[in-house]
Amino acid sequence: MRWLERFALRAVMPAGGALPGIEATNLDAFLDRFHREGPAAFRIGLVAGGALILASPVLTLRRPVPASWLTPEQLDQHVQRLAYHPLYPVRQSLFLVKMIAGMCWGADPAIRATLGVTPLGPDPGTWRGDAARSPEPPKLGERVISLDAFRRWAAARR
Amino acid sequence: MTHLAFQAGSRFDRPVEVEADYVVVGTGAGGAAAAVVLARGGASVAMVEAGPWRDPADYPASMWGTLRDMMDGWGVNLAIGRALWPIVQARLVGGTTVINSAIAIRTPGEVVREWRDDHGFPDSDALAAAIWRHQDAIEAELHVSPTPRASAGRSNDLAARAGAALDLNDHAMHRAIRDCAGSGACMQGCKHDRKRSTNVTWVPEALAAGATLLSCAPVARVELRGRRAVGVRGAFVHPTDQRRGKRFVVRARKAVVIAASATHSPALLHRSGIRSRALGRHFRAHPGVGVFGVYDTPVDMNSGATQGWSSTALRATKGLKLETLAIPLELVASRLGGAGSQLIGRLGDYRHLAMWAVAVRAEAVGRVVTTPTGKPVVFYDIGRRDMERLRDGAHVIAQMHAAAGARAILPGVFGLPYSLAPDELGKLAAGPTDPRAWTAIMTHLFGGCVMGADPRRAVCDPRGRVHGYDGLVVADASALPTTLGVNPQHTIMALARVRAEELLAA
Ligand SMILES: Cc1cc2nc3c(=O)[nH]c(=O)nc-3n(C[C@H](O)[C@H](O)[C@H](O)COP(=O)(O)OP(=O)(O)OC[C@H]3O[C@@H](n4cnc5c(N)ncnc54)[C@H](O)[C@@H]3O)c2cc1C
Ligand code: SF4
Repeated sequence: MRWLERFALRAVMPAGGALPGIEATNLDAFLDRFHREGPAAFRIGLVAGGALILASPVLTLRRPVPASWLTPEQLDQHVQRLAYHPLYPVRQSLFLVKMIAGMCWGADPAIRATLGVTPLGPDPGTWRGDAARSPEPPKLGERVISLDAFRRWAAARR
Repeated sequence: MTHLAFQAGSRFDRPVEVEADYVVVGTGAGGAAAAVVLARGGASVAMVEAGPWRDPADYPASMWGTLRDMMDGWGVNLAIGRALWPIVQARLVGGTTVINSAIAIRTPGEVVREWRDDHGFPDSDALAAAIWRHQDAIEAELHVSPTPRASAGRSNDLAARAGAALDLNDHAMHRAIRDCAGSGACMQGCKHDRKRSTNVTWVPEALAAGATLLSCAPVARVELRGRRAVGVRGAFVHPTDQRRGKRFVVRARKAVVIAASATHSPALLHRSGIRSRALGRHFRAHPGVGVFGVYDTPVDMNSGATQGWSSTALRATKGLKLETLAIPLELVASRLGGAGSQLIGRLGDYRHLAMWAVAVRAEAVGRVVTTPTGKPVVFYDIGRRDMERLRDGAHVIAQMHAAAGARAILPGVFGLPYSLAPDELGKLAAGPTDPRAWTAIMTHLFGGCVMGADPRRAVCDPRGRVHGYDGLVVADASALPTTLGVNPQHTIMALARVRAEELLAA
């Protein structure tokens, strides 16, 4: 599946253009996060979009071969035609792949630097009551707080 | 102040139990407004919120983080119809006020008159007066003010220039923001703590006045004793890994106020076994589309107020509201046409893009259906007349870009060229009206538990009380029987405060 996901993301944002493609970003780290955190709808959508790109050169270029066999120029033409395909579900599928690719590409510090855009800060993922940042002491005696969380809290207080 | 966040445990543990005069479900525009007025009135209040409480320091910076930490269903809940348009709402303390642009527009008088004429609201003049009285107070409490020139940024300045050239009776946007730093990132939550979303205003105020908050606590159902609402119950859900925690029961001595949003309130009432023929019906929206202009010199739409300019010149005649908008680089990739090297090439224009948007007061009526797993799904099909007006609005936006000096306009409509020169805008005016050709988004949602005098057509009476039940009041976007034609939060907040006053007086 990883291969298919990478293939789809690289196809919609390839290298060799005016700006670096998605390959120039830390795509593996993004995909790790994508699998760790992302919702099923995204994961299914990306695999479905990848499968569509892979299987459909016959629709766009009249070539009954998988897209992975195409030259980079042919693959580029293929995804361009899919993005403007008359069938709405095909366009929507490409839209989702582009959206996921955009979240990887547009957040990358090197890409942002190339465009002259400020780098993004972190995504702390914290919240009130979260042991990692809680200003309130964890409630001892309840099973709420793991020992680990208690140590983190104690360290933060020090 | 009592705040109970996620409580680890299993369904076999004793539930966390809380009792209050009033239980308020949801802490967004409606819920927090009702809770703070109830707490100020001396009542004991328990707020129960599905999402976690995040402070500005917790807000994410990336779009991925925003979808993960802030949005309901990762922002990919789709309205199902001929086209699939995303329904965007937030799921955290503060609700959608955390991710919105805090635009505050007063309730138009004719909307309340429509409620009187078409939905049997008695004494609509008194209701309008009460709403406006609260809107006076809200404007003071939440620092509603016009976007200052200094933080407007170039996109808003260009729009102001276009508005003047086209005589659009435009103005600097009025927003509930104190000293906007112009970071163009309202959708990711205001990390500068300038936006007066309810998680940094009324929720802490209600807590300081003695209220209790349960966060990470999605309400599964309203508890009924006969036809009286006596509380709510559910189980804590961990905001990061979605694991279930302890169960909770929150008892209401006087009433349960539902404010879980236009999609979640109807689903919650469905799950609770509330019987009403109108439940989930009369769902409406202001679908919106954005049109990019490409300028010779950088616009940097993300430096400046996210939505600092507006025109309501076409509201009365066409039901259109024009606004500026800034979206992050990460989302621009999917909004630009094409794929492959073509897309990468087009992204090179990023800093030269300005996005302005139009929202239409659509006549289309949809439905919120509750799935067997208890989740809301929206069915919504927009008609040709609405699409024609949306297209007209997009055309006006394109004309604005031309008037502001854009070298090209990117309509983003399937079937039209990717880029139009300023003298080719007629193509957009005659463009397709098939919704599948447009990339729209639904952020202003209404109905699902609408108010009205007739119990066959409305879930609640004109005072938000669920027909046929005691102690159960709806005080959010779901209760609005019509669209507004203006941004909804100010109306939702004011109406929720009116509801709270009525409860205190009862
Ligand atoms: C991107 C965006 C920008 C917008 N910009 C503006 C703007 O500038 N001005 C404006 O007027 N309007 C704007 N809006 C719309 C406005 O924010 C909403 O109309 C308004 O917040 C709706 O208020 P509400 O109380 O009905 O729902 P919400 O504010 O969404 O609050 C509902 C709350 O209920 C919680 N909840 C849901 N289910 C449960 C449950 N089962 N148990 C407990 N809690 C639950 C949710 O987590 C949420 O916190 C915008 C919307 C979006 C998406
Ligand atoms: S534009 Fe930036 S500083 Fe201003 S309110 Fe929005 S997020 Fe905050």
